[in-house]
Amino acid sequence: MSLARYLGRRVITALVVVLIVMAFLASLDRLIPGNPVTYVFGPHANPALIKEVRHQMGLDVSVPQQIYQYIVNAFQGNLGINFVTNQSVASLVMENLKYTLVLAVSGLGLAVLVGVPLGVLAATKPGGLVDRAIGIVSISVITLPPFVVGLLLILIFAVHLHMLPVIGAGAPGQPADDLKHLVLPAVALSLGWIGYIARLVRSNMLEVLTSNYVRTAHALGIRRRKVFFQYALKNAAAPVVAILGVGLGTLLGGAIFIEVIFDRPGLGTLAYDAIASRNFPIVQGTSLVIAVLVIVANLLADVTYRLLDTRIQLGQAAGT
Amino acid sequence: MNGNGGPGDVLLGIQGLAVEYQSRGAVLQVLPGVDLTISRGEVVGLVGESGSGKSTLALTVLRLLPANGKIAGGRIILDGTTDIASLDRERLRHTRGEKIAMIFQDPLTSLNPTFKIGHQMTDVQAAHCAHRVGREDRKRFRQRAVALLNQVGLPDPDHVMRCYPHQLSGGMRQRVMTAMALSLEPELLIADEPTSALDVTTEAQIISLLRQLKADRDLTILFVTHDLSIVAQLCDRVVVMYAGQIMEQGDVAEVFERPQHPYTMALLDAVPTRSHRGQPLTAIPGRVPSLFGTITGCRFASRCSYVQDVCREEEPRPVVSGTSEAVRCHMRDQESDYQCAAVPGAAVTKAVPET
Amino acid sequence: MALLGAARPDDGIGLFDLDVSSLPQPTRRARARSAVGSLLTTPGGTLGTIIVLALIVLAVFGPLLAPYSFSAIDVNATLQGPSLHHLLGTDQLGRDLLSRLIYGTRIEMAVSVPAVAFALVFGLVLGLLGGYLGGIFDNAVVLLTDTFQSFPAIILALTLLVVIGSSLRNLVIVIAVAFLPNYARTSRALVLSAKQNHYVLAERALGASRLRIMVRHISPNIVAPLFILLAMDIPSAIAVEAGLSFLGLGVRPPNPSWGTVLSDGFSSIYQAPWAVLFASLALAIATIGFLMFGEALRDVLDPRLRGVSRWRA
Repeated sequence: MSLARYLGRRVITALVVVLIVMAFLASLDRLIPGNPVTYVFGPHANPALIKEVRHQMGLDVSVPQQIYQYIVNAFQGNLGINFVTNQSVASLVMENLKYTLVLAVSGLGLAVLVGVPLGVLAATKPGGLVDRAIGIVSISVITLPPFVVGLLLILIFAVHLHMLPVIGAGAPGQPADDLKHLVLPAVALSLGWIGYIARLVRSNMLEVLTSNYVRTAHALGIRRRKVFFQYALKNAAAPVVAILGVGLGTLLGGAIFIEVIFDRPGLGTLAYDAIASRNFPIVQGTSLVIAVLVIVANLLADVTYRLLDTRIQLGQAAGT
Repeated sequence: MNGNGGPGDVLLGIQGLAVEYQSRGAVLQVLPGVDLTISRGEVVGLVGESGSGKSTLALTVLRLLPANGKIAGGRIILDGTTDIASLDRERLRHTRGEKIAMIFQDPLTSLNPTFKIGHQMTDVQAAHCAHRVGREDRKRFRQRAVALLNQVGLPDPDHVMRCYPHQLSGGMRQRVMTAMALSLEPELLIADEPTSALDVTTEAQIISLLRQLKADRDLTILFVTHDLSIVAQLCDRVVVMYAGQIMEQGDVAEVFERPQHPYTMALLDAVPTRSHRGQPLTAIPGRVPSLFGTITGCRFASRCSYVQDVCREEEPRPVVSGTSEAVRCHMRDQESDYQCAAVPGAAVTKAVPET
Repeated sequence: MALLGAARPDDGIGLFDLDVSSLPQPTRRARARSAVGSLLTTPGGTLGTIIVLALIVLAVFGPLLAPYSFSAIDVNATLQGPSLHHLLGTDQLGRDLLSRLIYGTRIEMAVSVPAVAFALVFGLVLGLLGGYLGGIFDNAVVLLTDTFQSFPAIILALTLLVVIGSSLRNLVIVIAVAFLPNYARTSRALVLSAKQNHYVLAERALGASRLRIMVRHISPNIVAPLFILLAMDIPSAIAVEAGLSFLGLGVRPPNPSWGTVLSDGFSSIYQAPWAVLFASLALAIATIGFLMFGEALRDVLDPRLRGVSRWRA
């Protein structure tokens, strides 16, 4: 099917998924044991007040109605109220979103910018010293979850070396300072994926280099460098794009820890604080926004991958 | 780019070519030492079953062996002057495509799926351009590519140029590969089972295309296949390989009419049209010998209907016999210990060597 | 393979009249023994198997092996480095780190292994239903897995835990839910490709019911890759659990999940790095161990897989 049709189908599927996500999150409200209102106001609060607040929070209607109401509100930008501070959840989330996005995107960018060249480097001389070194380092970083890496980095750079800042996101209005504060967190977040992408690119490259079309290119006298960096790399790198969608999801998940550890503002810190106070609407809102981000990222990655690998895009139509 | 001599001259002389593969620590002697000459203007059919070494031989000419394969000895003399086996990388690169070109068995996997045909075809020409490639050059390459696609019988070359390999049919892809291979006007075209992946009708089209190209350009072709009927249609000479050695070679009509080597005889017998209705198809019993380690005696001994003790002990040397230029068989070697009288059957009397 | 070698040339018979029943058939025991043996052929496989076994031993016999109780507070010995008394040092309350990590192994294994196992079982069922029955079931399965895979595992686990509260049981449930979609997707893909196999078509032609085909023929063949996935997912599950405990959503103190140890260690990181170091090491070892074990398992099961399915079906 053509790219436009595929895009259309994909977008519709994504929208349906978003709706289901919202429904799921909305229905969780009902599963909270106990009465969230009494939790906030205390068990001896005025029953009339409790009833009024419940009504305001939309907890006294049926589940399907509640879900419907939530979805309608969400599309209008209303994600509920943080019933501790009475702030709009949506505004809180949006305020913190940019920090988390910066972190996740830098992590992803780092993973690609460092991981792909490392993988290519390893593939130039498989079995050689460089390859083995990269392999060992890759495996060791993949095995550690990002927050552990973060802790270790703090240990090395802040406790012992006093090189890079580990607290906060930098003084506002000073991009250079922001960058300095971004280094360790972004590295901690991305290290695992650098290793993963390096291994992926390496094995893809090696596989592609033994393929028939690379043999044909050599047979027709095309320069080795061109065969390697153009013919082989293009085919080997395409799958990397496909996993970037997954990557963003994982990185967003890891960002929570990184923000907490490095004391940075962002959705992670927001959620962490909300957990402590059992402030469900915030957790709910954060979850929703993150899920939507992941869905969009996957959509983009999918489409970009299809653009790159036209074989899949049109192969099904050609039937060959 | 043109050769020194005219038609009839030796274009490719393979002398004592030995090729080894490294497999899990053991060494596989795929080609023990092959001698083969190809003259200008002829179409040589290289036949053999799977594992006979025919593809290895074809790939080795352009040194396209996989990473675990290497040339263990011998020479590949092109045009009487250059030994391909010892060329440095840059000169080898220039030989590939310019002097010798190759087309492969599976055109789908042999073309890069992520680049358009036009891109791949202009790349080939650009790779052999002595100077830096400019816009004018690219334009020239494109025009030439279109012309080539026309010559190989593709009806809408401009459209094909803009296509990706998977958008074309198998036959079209093979034509594209052929066009790519010919874009630098090589003197020798090596075709490694180019029709094995195609259906019979398309196969016939490709064969007739090759015949036409041969006539138009005076192309020398080395055609590797397991299909004897193609050899009969297309080739001037046939070379029969078994277990890495050439068992028999000679003029196609002669060899097919009066095969000298038991293996050739068995191959011809095995062609289905030769069997009679209701009779079981003739198969050659046994298996190809393992190529790990050394083999004593004739490699075909374990499956030969005419085997004698001498066959198992001594390796037969190539001799001229009957109409064959070279047969590796004790039965045909007057100086061997083979007892002709001991073997009953019409086959032997038919092929009594001329004294 | 003496059977295949010496065919006589004259009678024109060759491979085709082999008596199949005369080929040696591997017995169940021999197969199992050689499977275990193959696990140990590579250095990676041996290391992985050793680590996994060690973790299991520690988890089961932890209380017997640990020198101290995990909650034994000693205010005179806080934040010490490795010493003879405390091989890995102590934490901010003077508790022995080695003991805490050993007890932590119990928690990690008790949470991650059942969680991933449940994810496998329920994911397999969903994948079978969707893949084999197709149509609306399949669409539903795909849509559901898409939905739940839109949440990063931690976020999903976190959200659910806020709702249902954190306890050991809830941790297992929540992690199982987080990993379930992946198993559903994988088994669905495996089922879809197994459906194409000729032996399935043959069974259908013979009139076998769909249930029978699903259970007797397709399942055995797709279980093996799922098992390999399980082995390799356990480290991820451990990481999720550790992360949740680190955030305070996991097991309650003083239970020493590795995440809790890390969290405690983090608050005193400037004074003593030991807790962070050794807990990270424990995580790394467990991860490497299971990953290598999983890879060795894959080397054993994958080629075997084809053989087993043919003889059984």
